[in-house]
Amino acid sequence: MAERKLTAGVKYCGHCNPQEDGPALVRKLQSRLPELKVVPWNDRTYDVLLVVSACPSDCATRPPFNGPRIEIAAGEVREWYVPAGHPAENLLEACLDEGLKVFGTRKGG
Amino acid sequence: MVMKTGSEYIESLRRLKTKVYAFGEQVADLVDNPLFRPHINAAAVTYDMAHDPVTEDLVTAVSHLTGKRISRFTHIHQSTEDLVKKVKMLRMIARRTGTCFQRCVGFDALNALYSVTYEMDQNLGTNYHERFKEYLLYVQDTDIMVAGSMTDPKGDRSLRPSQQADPDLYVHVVEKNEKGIVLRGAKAHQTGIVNSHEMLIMPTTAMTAEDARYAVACAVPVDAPGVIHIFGRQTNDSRKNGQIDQGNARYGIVGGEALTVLENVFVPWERVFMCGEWQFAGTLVERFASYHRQNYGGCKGGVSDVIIGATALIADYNGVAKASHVRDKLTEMIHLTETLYAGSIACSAEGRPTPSGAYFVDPLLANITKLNVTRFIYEICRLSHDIAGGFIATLPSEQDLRCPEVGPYVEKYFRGVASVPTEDRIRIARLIENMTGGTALAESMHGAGSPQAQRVMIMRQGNLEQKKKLASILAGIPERD
Repeated sequence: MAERKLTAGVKYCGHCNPQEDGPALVRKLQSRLPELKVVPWNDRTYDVLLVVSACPSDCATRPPFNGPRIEIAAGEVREWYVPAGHPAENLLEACLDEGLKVFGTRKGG
Repeated sequence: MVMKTGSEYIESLRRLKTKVYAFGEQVADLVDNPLFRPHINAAAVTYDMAHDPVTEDLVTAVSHLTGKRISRFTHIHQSTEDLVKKVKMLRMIARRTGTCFQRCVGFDALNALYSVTYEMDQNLGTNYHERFKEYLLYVQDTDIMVAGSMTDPKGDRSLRPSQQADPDLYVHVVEKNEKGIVLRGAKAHQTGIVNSHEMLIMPTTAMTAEDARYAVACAVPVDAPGVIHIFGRQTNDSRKNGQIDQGNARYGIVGGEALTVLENVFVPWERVFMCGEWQFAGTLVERFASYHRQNYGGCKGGVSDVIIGATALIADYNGVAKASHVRDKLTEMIHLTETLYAGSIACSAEGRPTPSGAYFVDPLLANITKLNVTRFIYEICRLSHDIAGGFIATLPSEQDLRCPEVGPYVEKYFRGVASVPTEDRIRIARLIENMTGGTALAESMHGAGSPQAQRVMIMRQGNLEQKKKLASILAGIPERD
């Protein structure tokens, strides 16, 4: 597992008519990954951007962020990006693997 | 300045000197008065949600003027995505408050005036748009709550503003000088105005040259000298001291409306955005009305989500949740709610840029959405009453529930299924009663304009001649001059 804390900046969609409880999903992810620290997306620094949409329309605004990201919609990991050799690669992969256990299917990559 | 929080908004109201009358007396402490506090709480939610990481994506936007993050309620739509997010935001907030949170009216007034002042300047050589942008910057920077003030009392509806026996039945300019203008008249049904900071006054109808002094748009502080608000009664306003009987004690029902009297109110030129340009009064009315009618599948969709939830709960509490007719009626309520929402999303997705660059909804679809609200909300509420049962209209009071002598009887004889406390059943019944009747229903009919106003716009934009042509082609009728 991870050598250091992984900080995720979380961007929620707004939850107008949610089919999933985004914060509950993130808490679940944190409970499986104790090394994961979660901050709002507009905090200054984080290792990975986590975009959480609560229904399949997946309308969360994507903040500008060049680093790794995981995008979840309706309880499903839709897409992710991990640059090769990125310092957070192992942690991100661990997070993603744990996320897949939480969210069920693996569609992107 | 940063966006206000809910508590900062509430505290800011304490600094105003808003003159409000209710039940024949001037209100001394508006903020802590139970007649007004639920409406203030509902508006405060719009401020708090701008700071909530879960909801900020909908409740904030980036100003096209400054690049700063601002409340969406002060934003000018820059895309169809902005229009769609507005609808989603309204539904999301209404699901939390179960009632009107009032800020959309000023939001729509800001957007309508932004594009119409631009078009006025292009056509008439006036300089209102730059002046309006300065005002918009002030609103975005201070995050104030702005009421949208359109509806005049109108007097004899068969007469134009300038033909009325009493000229004050439409807001008009009584004096112009080098510093500004002086207004007289009144605005009716003013949603959220007693807990707003400013109001944006607009004409209520299309005008002719004779009505030029009635073609006026401007911003006025709600506590400006000469401004008096007379608060409207609501069907549950004698229940304000309990927690159960008013149904939604925290946020109230509807928006808290008032008649706002303007008794020789001075407005400096820098806050005047139309003064005599009668040719654009109709455009401004239609622009504002269409934006406002766009909203109703969002906010009423969210309110209906709560009504559906309450109705499903009462079915559980009554022990009838598995009955097929109950499930069928709940299905119908969901169908009607999502149809309203679909209309609001559609008119937003079909939006288009105006010459100013600001985006405008599809007015035909927006008007159809609001016309559907005048029917569907009544049907949703009828189905809720059907499932809930007559006890929502005959329940004893909260005081009787708490009364040592008769409380045990209320407790015993108003119980439904044994596993649910009687008080829970009464609470949900009161929520249904208050959300589905009286003032709340009439608001669905007349808010954002009465049904006939929507019909007029629908017929104007319905392209009937093209439809006749389609039928003629298929019927083999040759084209004639």
